[in-house]
Amino acid sequence: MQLNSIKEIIAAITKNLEAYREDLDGLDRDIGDGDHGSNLVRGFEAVLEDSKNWDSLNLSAVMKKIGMTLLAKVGGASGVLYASACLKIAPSVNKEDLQISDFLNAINIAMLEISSKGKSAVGNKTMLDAMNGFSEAFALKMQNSQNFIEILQAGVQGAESGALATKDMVAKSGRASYLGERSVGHTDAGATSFYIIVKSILQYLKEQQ
Amino acid sequence: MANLVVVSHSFVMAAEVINFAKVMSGNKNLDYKIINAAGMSDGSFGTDGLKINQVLIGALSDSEVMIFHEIGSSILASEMAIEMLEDDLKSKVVMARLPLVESLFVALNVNSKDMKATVLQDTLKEEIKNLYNI
Repeated sequence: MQLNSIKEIIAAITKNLEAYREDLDGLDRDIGDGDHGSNLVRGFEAVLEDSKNWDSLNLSAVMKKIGMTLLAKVGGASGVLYASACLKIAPSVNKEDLQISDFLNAINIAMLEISSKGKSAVGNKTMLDAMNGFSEAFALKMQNSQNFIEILQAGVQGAESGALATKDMVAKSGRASYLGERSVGHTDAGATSFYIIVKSILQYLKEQQ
Repeated sequence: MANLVVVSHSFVMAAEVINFAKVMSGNKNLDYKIINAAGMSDGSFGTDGLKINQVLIGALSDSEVMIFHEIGSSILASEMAIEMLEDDLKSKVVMARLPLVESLFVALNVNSKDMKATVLQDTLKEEIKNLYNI
């Protein structure tokens, strides 16, 4: 993947997060502290700024850079989780010939890392639910398609379903867990932001077709 | 001896907790450092894992370190900052995993030049149990 495309994808993600900033803050305010959108926008704006200095870096080095910037600039638990995911993904994409399966592998690495760091699991009303929806749908589509955009689209739909499914869940991780049953009826902000991120990648790639 | 690092979402709160602990323990001359690693570089609420990592590296140059923290990302970011250290340094950092205000106050009363961070943590746990009769 060309460095320029990665920069443009970061720009697309940042733009979409900005558009959804209020919504994400609102979801977070319902069952958390109300800063998820603003935190992520601050983090991705910093990544976008940093991307000006990425010349001659490969995808692996870029993932490290993104992780370090998110760790410093997001400020909330979600920042640490997204950051640690990027840092773990970095070595797995340190090769020339990236396959469709490498994208799935990266998401699965991210899920493992986030479960371990956040002491959480699928079904706890977190970003993991959107990631799991993405991973399952992506893997399923891979069985009967070789078209990356088609497979990614299935993954994004899975992420959306996974994010929406958090509405009926009782929070068992993060600050929302203090609310217990009262967290039911609210969609998780972290699951929603993951969906927005992968949707941004898909939108960008479709526009390039 | 353990240097003490305070991690919080709020720089101002951490500064005041440090001030509180110093005043309440009699403003003794300390032979270790207390470092405020709280807040974000732009002054907003939050934790900066990279800053915590840099503070740890500095604080580890002459001693073990204990991290005092509060909730959520102050724990996650501290854990991440420890994970990013060189392997031989990781074991020299201990997370307090105790209430911030009380544990920092007690630490200033019991910490000494010769105390290992793990021993300090055991002592803090005992003292806080006694404090609240739990």
